[in-house]
Amino acid sequence: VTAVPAVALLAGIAGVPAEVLEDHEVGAYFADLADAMNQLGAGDPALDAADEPFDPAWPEDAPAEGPSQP
Amino acid sequence: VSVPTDLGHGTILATAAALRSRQVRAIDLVQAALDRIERMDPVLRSWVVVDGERALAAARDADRDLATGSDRGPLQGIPVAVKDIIDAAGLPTRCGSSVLRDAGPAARDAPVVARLRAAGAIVLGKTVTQEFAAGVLSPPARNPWDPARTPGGSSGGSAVAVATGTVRLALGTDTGGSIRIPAAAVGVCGYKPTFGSLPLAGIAPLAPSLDTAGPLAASVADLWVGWRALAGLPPAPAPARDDLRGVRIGAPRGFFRGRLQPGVADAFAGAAALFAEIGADLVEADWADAARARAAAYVINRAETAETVWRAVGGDAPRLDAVNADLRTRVLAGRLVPAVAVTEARRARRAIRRSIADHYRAHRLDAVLVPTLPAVAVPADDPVVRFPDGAAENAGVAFTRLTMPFNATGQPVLALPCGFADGLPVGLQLAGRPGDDERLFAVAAAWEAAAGWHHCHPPLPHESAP
Repeated sequence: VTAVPAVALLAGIAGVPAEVLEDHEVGAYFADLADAMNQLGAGDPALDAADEPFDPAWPEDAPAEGPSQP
Repeated sequence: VSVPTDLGHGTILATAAALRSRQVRAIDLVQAALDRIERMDPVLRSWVVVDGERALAAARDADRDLATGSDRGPLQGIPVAVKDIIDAAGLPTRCGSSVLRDAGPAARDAPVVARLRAAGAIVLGKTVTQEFAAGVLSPPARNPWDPARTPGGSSGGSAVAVATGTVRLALGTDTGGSIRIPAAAVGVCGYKPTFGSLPLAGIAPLAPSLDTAGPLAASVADLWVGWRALAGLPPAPAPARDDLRGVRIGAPRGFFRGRLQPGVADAFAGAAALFAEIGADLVEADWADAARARAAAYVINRAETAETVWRAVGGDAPRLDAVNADLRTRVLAGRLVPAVAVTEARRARRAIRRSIADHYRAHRLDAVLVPTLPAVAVPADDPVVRFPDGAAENAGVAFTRLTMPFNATGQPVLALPCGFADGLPVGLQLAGRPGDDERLFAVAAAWEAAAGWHHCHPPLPHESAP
């Protein structure tokens, strides 16, 4: 399988017409996505925090000096 | 409590008191709203369907119930609007899409609508949304402050219905800012509650791991009444405080203040100064992960939106030709987003939620204060944000830049009007801790009372500008 058929196969798996791959607007879409991926900082050790247990309700988050006035 | 002399702009509590003293009837409120729609909608085009007959019948029932002492609380007899991606029994949910133009009436209310009706609210009809809630313009709706401009989106019709005093309360949804963006663009209040705190059944999904339903209203007090009902909580007095002494509010610069139109920057600076004047401690601490949070929400949004809209068209690529060109591209391209991008974005989101919690704890913050939009509402025929340095940014990108980070964190965020630039509304966001709604509302109410921007209403189309 060469590179070009692989991309076409990918589009086929996604149910996307192959000509979409030539669309300028789709190119712009992926340029924006690439920017976002750069901002995500994939590989940044800071993201290792994602692998530690954490309750999204912030239960551990009481301010050190207690909450300010309710 | 004063009797509302203008049926459109009396607060919910004042109107509720007038209903109970029989100085006004629910049927008068509904009729006034219908009259207002008839007068304005040819210009503002914010309603998809108006359910006048059933609303009038519900109003008669409310008047009868109140007269016999059957009291369900402050929303009883109050007309409300519902964004057209949310099911209301007996009305079609078309999601602003020609793909669903033949949709039949919904068999039942979405739970959030059912809760409003259980509290006595009267559903007046469905309001315009951007197609499948995927965008920030809400065509064909227009901005009441300048009908050549958009009202923002995607809950644009609901925001216009509130801004014009047609209803005091409207339902919206927020995946990347879709409650807060139109609230800012038309000068009303909006609330994105803590992610997961309100049921989403009966609401067309956009990006399920980010979607949030919530209210839009003309004041913090009205928003409180609406939020309590939506959350299935009994009515309770709005939290109040005389000043903000002892309240610590983060005021980050960097990402959130880096690129604003000058008039927006000035209005926001004035709003921030007022927080300090009434006693708040403003803490100028940047949150280092704001751009990362926006990026995570963006990537997740793109992937999930592609999947939900694809399913809405039945997984049929040719049928997708019926949706607008931008959304079609977004769906087709979104189906090709690599899995690694989505898994990395979800991983980043988990780290970001820890990061924002650490930020609040490190600086002992009660809330964070940032602008809602970097610009005022854009022209409908040229939806581009322009900055003095000549830079131009697509409204879809610019308008979600400062709202999306909080969809990644899942925090509750209040959006409030905070002034004007070039005659158009400017808004701020006040982001709280998850589940800490009461504190957030109390802080917002104190500031709103001092600022008074919620008293500003747009001229109706038949009126001249002030």
